Formats: sequence, structure tokens, C-alpha cells
Amino acid sequence: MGFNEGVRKIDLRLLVHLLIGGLLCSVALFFLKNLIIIDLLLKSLNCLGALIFEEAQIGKKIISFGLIHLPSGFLGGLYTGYKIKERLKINLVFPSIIALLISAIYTTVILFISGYTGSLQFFPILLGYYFGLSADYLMGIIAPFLVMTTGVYLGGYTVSWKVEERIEEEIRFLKE
Amino acid sequence: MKVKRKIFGLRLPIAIFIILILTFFSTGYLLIYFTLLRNLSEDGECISFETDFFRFKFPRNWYARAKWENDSLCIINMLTTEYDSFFGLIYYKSWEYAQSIFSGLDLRDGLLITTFEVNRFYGELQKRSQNATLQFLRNGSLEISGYSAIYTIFRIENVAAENLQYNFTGIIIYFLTDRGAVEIVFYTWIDRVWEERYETFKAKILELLVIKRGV
Repeated sequence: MGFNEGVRKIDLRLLVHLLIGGLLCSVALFFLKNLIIIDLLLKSLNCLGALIFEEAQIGKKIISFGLIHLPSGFLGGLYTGYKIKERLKINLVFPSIIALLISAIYTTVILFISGYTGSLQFFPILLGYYFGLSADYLMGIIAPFLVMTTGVYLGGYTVSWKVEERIEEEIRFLKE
Repeated sequence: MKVKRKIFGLRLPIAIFIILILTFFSTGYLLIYFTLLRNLSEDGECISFETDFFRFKFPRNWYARAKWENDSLCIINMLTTEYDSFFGLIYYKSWEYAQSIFSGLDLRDGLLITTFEVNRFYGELQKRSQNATLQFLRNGSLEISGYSAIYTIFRIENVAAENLQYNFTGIIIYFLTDRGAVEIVFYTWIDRVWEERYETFKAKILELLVIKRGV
């Protein structure tokens, strides 16, 4: 009984930290999306008009992966890695999934709050506007998710890196 | 075997993180830059853009959206560098489709079509701003890529948006091609820039627009 309660407590703690990690990811995604205006960056580089071409649109997406999705995943990963030490390989998948879900829920809520009751045609537009995601599955959902997950792993392992080093040093010390 | 745990004095994950950011940024930028280089005009000031139906040039720093196209339409739209004017080009791929859009109107009567479109635009603005007023400033004809086109210059005053008042001045141009129809829209919502932007629009876009024959 006591053991089961212990397991439940650990799971709940894990769940809360994963949720907070995911929330951090989506909040960072929201702010970075609105803070880093890639169009202005391209304007200062005198190549804004190139966005008329599909290749340039892909280029813009790739830039947003690097400046928006990767850092937001990294921030969520830092928190998650700081709070959770066990089974990082598995646990670090969840913050980015949670971040995607939160982004979708937030967008749906905004859509309903604004009083819009028609079809969901504005959903992808808002999702893109707020979070830089879109209905284009490969470049709009899957690729950002993978990049964000990479960011979460890098953030998560950044925190525990020191621990690993210390453990290695301890093992080396014991061997000697 | 000794495994390196740090790169440039940074923890490996942070080093990878920074390298990835730089890689994403430079890859994306190079993709955009080489796309730009491939399509720059001779003087390096404009971008040449071509579809199956038309080709035109526009200033390289105008904020262009990606071309939108389906079986019936091809749409281009962009903002000027200063974000104070809009340019849109709609290519109706067939007369039948154009007729379905301008239901009941004679497609050959360009003035009827431009007036209809100005009124439609005014109606859209009026939904948000009931005090808006419409003035037709001038109608006329001009030649674009060998086709005779009809234009209407209009002004819509007192358009309220986000606690500010705007006066729209713009032009709608329409003409039939061999198989379809073209509609061009250009307007600004800042009074004092109209003349200057319109001149740029005429010289850099309108006069260099080429509609391909047989389409």
C-alpha cells in the first residue's frame, strides 16, 4: 500500500513537472514568435520580396525553427531537466507534445472567445500567427515538433550534464 | 577511450544548441538569398516573377506573400516596403470562372466590373466602419501588355481601425485576356504617399507586366 502510494506520488510529481515544462515551451514559443519578427530581419537584409517564392518560404520556416522553435524547446527542457533526473530519454519527449497540445487548445479558446462560430478555417491562421505552426503537416507541425523536441533534449541534458560528469569522476576516483 | 565532454569550453548540449541555431539560420538565409539571386532583375533592384500566365517585376524589398493558385485562380499579393500600400493581382484562368465571380455582369464591360469591385471593397470596409464614404475620382483606359484595360481610381474616407482614421486611395484595373481575365488592385491608406507610391506602381509593375499570349 505504502509502496503504491509512493509510486503514485512520484508519477504525480513527474506529471506536474512535465506539464510545467510543456507550458514553458508553449509560452516561450508564443513570446519568441511575437518577439522575433523574421520579416523585419529579412527586410533589413533587403530580401523580403523573395518570399513570393516557395523556396524562400521554406527558408523562412527553417530560420524560424532555429530562432523560435529550438530555443523554446530548450527553455522547456532546461526546466524539465532541472526537475526530473530519472529516465530523461523517455520523459523529455513529453514537454514538446504538451506544448503542441497547449498551443492548439489556446488557439481554439481564442477562436471561441472572439465569438467566431463558423468553420475552423481560421484555426491554422491563428495557430501560425501565435505559435508559428500551421496546417501544413510536414513543415507546419511535424518539423517544428521535431525541432522543439531536439531543443527539449538539449535543454534537459544541459542541466544533467554536470551530474553525469560528476558521476564519471566519482567512478574514476573509486577505480583508482 | 576518452570522450570529449565539452566543445569550446561549453557543455556539449549547449554547444550543439548554439551550432544548431547558427545552422538553421544560415541555411534558411542562404536558401532565401540564392532564391533572390536567381530571380533578380539586371539592375538588382527588382525581383522577376513568372507564372504560366504572366510575368512581372517588383521592388526586392516589397513584402510579398507566396503565390496562391488553384484550377481557376492565381493570386499575388504584397505590401510595399513601408507597409503603407497594397498590391494585388488576380488572374482568372477562364472566362467561365470570371463570369461566375461577376455573376450577372457583362465581362466585356470593364467599367462595370471595376465599379462593382470598388463597391465590393467599400462594402467590406463599411462593415467595420459605418461612417466610411466612397468617392469615384477617375475612370479611364490604358494599355497593359498589349491588352486594353479599364481602370477606376477611388477614394474611401473615414475608415476607422484600431482608434485611428484612414483614408484609402486606390486603383482597380481590369481587362480580359485571350482565355481569362486580370484584375489588379493597388491602394494606400496613407494620404500623403499616394502619388509617390502610385508612380512606383506604374513604373515598376504596371509598365513591365507581361501577360502571356494564348492564356
